[in-house]
Amino acid sequence: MTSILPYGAKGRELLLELKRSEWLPAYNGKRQDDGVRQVLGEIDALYKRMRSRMAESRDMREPFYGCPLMVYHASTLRNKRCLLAYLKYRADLIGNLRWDAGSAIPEDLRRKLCAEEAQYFSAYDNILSDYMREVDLDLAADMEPPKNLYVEVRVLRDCGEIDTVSGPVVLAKDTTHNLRRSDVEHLIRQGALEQVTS
Amino acid sequence: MAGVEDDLVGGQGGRRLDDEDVDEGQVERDFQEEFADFDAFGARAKNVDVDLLRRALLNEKGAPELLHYEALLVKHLKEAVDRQQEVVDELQTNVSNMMRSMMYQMELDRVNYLIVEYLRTRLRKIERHAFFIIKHEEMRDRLSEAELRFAQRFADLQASHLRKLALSKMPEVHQKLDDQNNQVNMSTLIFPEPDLDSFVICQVLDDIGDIELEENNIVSMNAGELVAIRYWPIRDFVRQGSVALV
Repeated sequence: MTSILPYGAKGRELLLELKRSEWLPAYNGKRQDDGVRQVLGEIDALYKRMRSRMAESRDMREPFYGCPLMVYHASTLRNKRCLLAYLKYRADLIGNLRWDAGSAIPEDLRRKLCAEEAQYFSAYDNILSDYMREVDLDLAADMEPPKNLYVEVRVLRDCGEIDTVSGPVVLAKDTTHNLRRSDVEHLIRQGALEQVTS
Repeated sequence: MAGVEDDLVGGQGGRRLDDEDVDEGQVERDFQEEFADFDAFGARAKNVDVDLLRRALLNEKGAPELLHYEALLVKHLKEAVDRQQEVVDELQTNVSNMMRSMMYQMELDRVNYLIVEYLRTRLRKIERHAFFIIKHEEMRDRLSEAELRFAQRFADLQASHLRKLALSKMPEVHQKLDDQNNQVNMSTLIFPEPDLDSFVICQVLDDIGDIELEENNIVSMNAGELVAIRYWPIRDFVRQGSVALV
């Protein structure tokens, strides 16, 4: 789909970027060629044009004068919608991170976020943790229905010593252990342990 | 059951040897009491609640809108789980009870999973429809207090996030989510409202008879049938429990 008018193309590009990327496209809000900034720029430009057209004080019921205004307005709204959808989608995925990875953003993902988004993450973490404290349950645990009390796990990277119901266990790389699922579930989700399926 | 009871008493017998000046009859009675409690919450009362919660969870997963919070159910089950956990912890201190305590622990974990999954499913739905929920009194009433606080804070967080990154940098007339003259309802585009028209698959539990979806389109719903249907016509039946979503 090519549009005759250039308006809104950058907004569309932003959303396509989301679709293309594995997790989220990088966005730091500071680069000049940054998509969000470009869309905001277009909104500003459209607004200025609209103002100057209005200042000409012609009869806007004349299609010749009214039409451009309609186009500017519709393009602005489209841009606005694309931009908000983009940021909202990012925010939602950033929130999901709290469920998968716990209270800290993995370093390789953090690089793709801007400062405000990192703030969003910790604010979301706060809200969710407060809720969990109120109901006195860890909702991020037990993501799968429990099948066995114990799971056999292989250690993929050193985790040091962890506390289990049956005492402390040292999880050194390349060793296997038979442990209570609830003790190591979070480590499996973070990818530090691998469940050995028999 | 008798075997388990014998076992319990036997386990107690082992402990008695270490502690000679305990009144044997008293210990026996204590244990009977404990066991009675165990049975009451382990076998009968809990199972009904567990089934109800399982039903509530499936309904919640199937329904496009947020349903009423099963406050009492969750409260009772959580109390039962806590109580049971104490009994299991007690059992675990004795090696000869290991096998039984593991089985109880497994069952406990399953119930606990149900509770967690129920609350989690609701929370994710609340996030999806946070703005819709806090705007409508009727929806707010369906939330627990903690959920309501969560919904409010979550909606505020998302709104302020979008304001910070985008809206505040736009020309003044566009800084609000919605148009001043309400021509465009941007907030419902960005924060979708539940779609009551979506299809659900449900199991009819009680005979409902014919319901009219629209003119000339009548569906009869009889107990035991599995029906794929739009959500809104059966909304009230789900609430009453005569239809279960699957």
